[in-house]
Amino acid sequence: MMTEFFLLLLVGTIAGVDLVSGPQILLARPIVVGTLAGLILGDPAGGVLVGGILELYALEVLPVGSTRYPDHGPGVVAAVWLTSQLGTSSAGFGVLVALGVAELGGWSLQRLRRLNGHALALATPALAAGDERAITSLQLGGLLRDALRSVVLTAIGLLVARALFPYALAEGRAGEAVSAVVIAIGLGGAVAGAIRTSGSQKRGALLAAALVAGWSLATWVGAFPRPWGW
Amino acid sequence: MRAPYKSLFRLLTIQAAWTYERMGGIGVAHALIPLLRDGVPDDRRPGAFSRSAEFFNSHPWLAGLAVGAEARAERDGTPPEQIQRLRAALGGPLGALGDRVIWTGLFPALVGLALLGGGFLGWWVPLAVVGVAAVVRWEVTRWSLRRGLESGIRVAAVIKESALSRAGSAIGLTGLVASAVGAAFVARGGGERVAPGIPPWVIAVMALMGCGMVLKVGARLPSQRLALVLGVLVLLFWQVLTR
Repeated sequence: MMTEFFLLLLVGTIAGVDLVSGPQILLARPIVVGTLAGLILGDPAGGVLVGGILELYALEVLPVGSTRYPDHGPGVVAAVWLTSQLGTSSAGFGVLVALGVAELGGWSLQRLRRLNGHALALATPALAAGDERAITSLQLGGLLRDALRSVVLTAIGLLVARALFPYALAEGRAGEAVSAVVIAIGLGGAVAGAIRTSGSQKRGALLAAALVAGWSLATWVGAFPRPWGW
Repeated sequence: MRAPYKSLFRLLTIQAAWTYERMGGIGVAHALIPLLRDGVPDDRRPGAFSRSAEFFNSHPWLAGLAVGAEARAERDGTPPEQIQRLRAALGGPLGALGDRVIWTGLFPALVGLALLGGGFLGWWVPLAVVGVAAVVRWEVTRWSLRRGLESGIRVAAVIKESALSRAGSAIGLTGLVASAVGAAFVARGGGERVAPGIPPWVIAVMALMGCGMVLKVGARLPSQRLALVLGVLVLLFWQVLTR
């Protein structure tokens, strides 16, 4: 149990650091975090399912430096844990918890940047004098703060999921309705993000065709993910 | 370890000390340290360190071009004002190219692949996609640093003539299609898995309405806030109905 907890913390922390500091190689994406958390909990299919649904929300976001964007990774860990405990009927509830944690993550990113700015202000005279140790200290300090932010955010997510566990259990029958809402709005957000970046009419037509193709493919194949075993 | 490799590893965490004041300036300076220690005269080095930490913003995957170009310019004894102009001129084009090719092209394409592969083949596909992203990240960063070091203040021509610039449109299109197919696939198949009692057309209609609202209201109402509000309302409504 404790090993699982620490491994989940590690996955959430890597996700948070990958989003902000680097190396920015998709380790922060919900589909990846969900898969890793699912593997740790012995439920990779549940991880892919929850990660896939949360990925719809991440597809809307363009993580450009100065804008405020949510940090989905740490919350995904909590959502997968909740779903692995209660079954797929509570996936929608888990996704809601993850979205709340992602909002908190967005706020924490801004705080992190301000803290980095405070450290920068203190080091400005040394930087003006060309002190390379000041540069190294600022960089490593930023990395450490980011790691701390990510581990705290993941722990908060898991604690919130644990605290809401009885409510998720009680709301089991409402699970389908909540799940339908989070999937539909997630798809709507992903399409809105694609429309914003698509630009031309030709690309808009291609987007519509791709959406129809994906929808038809799933109609033919069945539930996501397919029972591939492991 | 040779200086370029030390710099290469530092480029992987270039945004760790990102601030609103200097944006990625400190990360660039940190990646430049090994290159400036090697080949820049002692009397010029403090000034070079100081210049390297000034304001800079670009795309993290392509910042190596700026780092390499600045290191070469400092080694060549280029006047400081010219180096500052170079930094100012590089940020915008590198940021735009990275946004177009990486954020809205490569990433959505790989994520679309992860969603489809995770649904069809198994959990290993999303992890394999991370492996692909890691290799591409390493190669793009290595290429950008090497080309920056080779070209110095003439780096703008490298950006213009690069394969990334030429392939930008095709990569963007691939990302758009792959992510859209993947998103619709997850929404339809995920709905069947977690909400089998709700007809797919209901989810499609709700998605259309959600898309319209997100586009109309803009940045103040991203989809996740809309989902939080609606999801909590559904739970409250359920409470009322069942008592």
